Amino acid sequence: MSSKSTVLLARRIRFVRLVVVLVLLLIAARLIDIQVVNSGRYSREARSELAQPVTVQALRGGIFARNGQPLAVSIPTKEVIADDFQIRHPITEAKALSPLLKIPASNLATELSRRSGYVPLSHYLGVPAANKVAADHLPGITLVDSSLREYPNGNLASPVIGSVNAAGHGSSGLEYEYNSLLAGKPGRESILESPFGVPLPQTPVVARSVAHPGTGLELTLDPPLQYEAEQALAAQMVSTKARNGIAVVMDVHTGNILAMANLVANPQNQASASNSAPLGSAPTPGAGSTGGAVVIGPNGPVSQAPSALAVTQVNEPGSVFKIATFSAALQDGVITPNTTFVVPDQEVLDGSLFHDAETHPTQPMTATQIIAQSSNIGTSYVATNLGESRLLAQVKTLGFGSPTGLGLPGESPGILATAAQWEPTNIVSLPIGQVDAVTAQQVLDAYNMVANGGVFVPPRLVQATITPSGKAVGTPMKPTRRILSPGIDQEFTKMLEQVVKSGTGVHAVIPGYLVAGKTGTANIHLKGRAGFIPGAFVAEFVGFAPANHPVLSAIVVLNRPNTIYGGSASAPVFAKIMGYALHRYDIPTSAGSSAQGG
Amino acid sequence: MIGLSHARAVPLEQPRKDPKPDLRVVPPRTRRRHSLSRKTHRRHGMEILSVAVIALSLMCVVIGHAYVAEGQMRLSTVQSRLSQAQLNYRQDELQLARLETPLRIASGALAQHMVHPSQIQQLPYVSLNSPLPPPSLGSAGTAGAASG
Repeated sequence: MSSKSTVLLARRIRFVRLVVVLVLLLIAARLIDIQVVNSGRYSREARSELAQPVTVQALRGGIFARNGQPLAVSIPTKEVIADDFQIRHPITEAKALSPLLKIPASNLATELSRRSGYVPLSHYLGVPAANKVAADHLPGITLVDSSLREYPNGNLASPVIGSVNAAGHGSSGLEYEYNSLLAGKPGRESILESPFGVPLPQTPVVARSVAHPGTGLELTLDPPLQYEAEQALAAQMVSTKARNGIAVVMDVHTGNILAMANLVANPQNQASASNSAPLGSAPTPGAGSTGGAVVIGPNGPVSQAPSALAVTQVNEPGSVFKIATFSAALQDGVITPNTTFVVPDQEVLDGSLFHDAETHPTQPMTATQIIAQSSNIGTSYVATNLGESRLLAQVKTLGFGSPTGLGLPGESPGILATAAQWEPTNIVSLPIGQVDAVTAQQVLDAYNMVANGGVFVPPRLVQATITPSGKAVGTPMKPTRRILSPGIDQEFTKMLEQVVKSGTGVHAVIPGYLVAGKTGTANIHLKGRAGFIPGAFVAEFVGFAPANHPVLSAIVVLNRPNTIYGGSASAPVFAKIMGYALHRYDIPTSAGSSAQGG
Repeated sequence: MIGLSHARAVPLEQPRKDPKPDLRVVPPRTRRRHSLSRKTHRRHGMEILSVAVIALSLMCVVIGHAYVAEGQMRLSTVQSRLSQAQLNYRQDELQLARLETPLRIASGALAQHMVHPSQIQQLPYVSLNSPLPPPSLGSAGTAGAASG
């Protein structure tokens, strides 16, 4: 090799060496850029491609009865999801999962071989079983937090309590109305997933924010009384073939709703249950009853209503609306309990015939007798003396036309006639409850005012909220307002006592207690046109006891019973429910109550 | 050595003209050397101390980390036990609620042949405004006969 070629070779080697060094330097510079200078950015970008935000649902707050008994609670569970692309031995995994999920292994093996990538195996697996599943480290099996809403009392008071949908959001009742409070605040986590959406195993879960459990509700409901109210109402609905029924029991002084039954009939099941025992007799097991109780549900003769009918269903109130006329007339001094009117049994006004429920000769009747016998003509005379404007004002003062404030979804304020819509016949038809449309709860609130010494107290269902730490925070009482002067309420109570003692409400007698109340029988309007449905009535009884020291008030409404009158269809249910409640709360018996049949 | 030089017949160098010998008088260094030694010792001490402090600090950090890790593990364990206890409580609460449902109690009562009373007999009302008459006590024999 000549010296010239040697020099050339040496130059080439130097050049190649230089190139290699430069390349290595470039690689090193890039490495430094990636690993040191911009490492954070690249790391973030890499994680953002894999990290998926996951919302962690907060545990929903519970709903409790007045005594703390749970009515609705959420139990933490796990949802078991399989990625069957990762499962190489579906039969083996199916056999391992079968006893924990309580699903036959053959069914599981089929599910795990679907090749879909996402197979929910169990939505609400208990945590102990879920822990065993997790401990098995089965490939392709993922556990996700979930919760199950449990109603330990079954469908008891379900129109009031409500329900949640599949997403865990309240869909009816208080569950819906207080959803934002009950739901709590969901947390956020991020997990690492492959581009195919499969969670990467052994990767950490990063909590972005912690889930805060929901706030609970403590209701005023008393489950045993609620059960008795529902059973008594259901039995009478079966007995009278009523289409739906409402029963509400209220604490006179606080306005707390102790029971609110809202039932609808299942006509297809009523035929088999119609032979069940009538109200008041000892129940016997038979069709439509289990253990002497009427089955309330899709398989029974009656079901829970889809909503709280006590505040959502409006109907003409009938004679229970006479409270507006008589309370205003007593308050203004237009009448006293002994003011006498000469009352015929029918009268024509502006071409319309009005009549009393029972025929009777034209006779003098005191105001007490008018209300005790529920005379429509006598009531119209009192209303005429009172005047149109005062009557309309009293209707509003008693709370008709306004929501009760119970906080139940779909509540109706009712439909009231205004002065602009006044017709000459209204001076008769409005006082007897044939113009306005009201809810059962509004009627009860008005009578509760009389029981509470003339002071109107708004009803309430939620008496406290329960913080996640378990502390009860009482809900403030709503302001009350005086409607009747002291003394007037007692006069009116004495008049209402006569309804039960000698009037239309004798079936509301509760042995040992003085009862005051009012019957009501209202027509049902034809849908979309003038007139009434022939033979269809709403039967009502509303009252309170003991009349001398009122503690509890209640209303019972039956829609289209075959025993049409409130005094015969609804008053016995009132007596049964109120009698149970008075004994349950150890209310002392009334002096002189033996006259009521005790 | 001189003799050997002569024996090689090395030409004698001309004696250099050294104007000054490279000598100078220096002050006694005993004191300085002593002071330097003390400084060096002090420096060494400081260095040792620094190393010790750093080592101790590192050890403290390690121990602290160990404590924190142990605390985190304990916290995690307690949290796990707490969630388990809360879950158990909820399940017990649910179980209790199921046991005390009115429907279950009513069914249980009927299974024991209990029935709804057709009528509840009320005790007569007695006013407490006027004093009650003293109870009339019979003879022991009468009472015994009555109870028997």
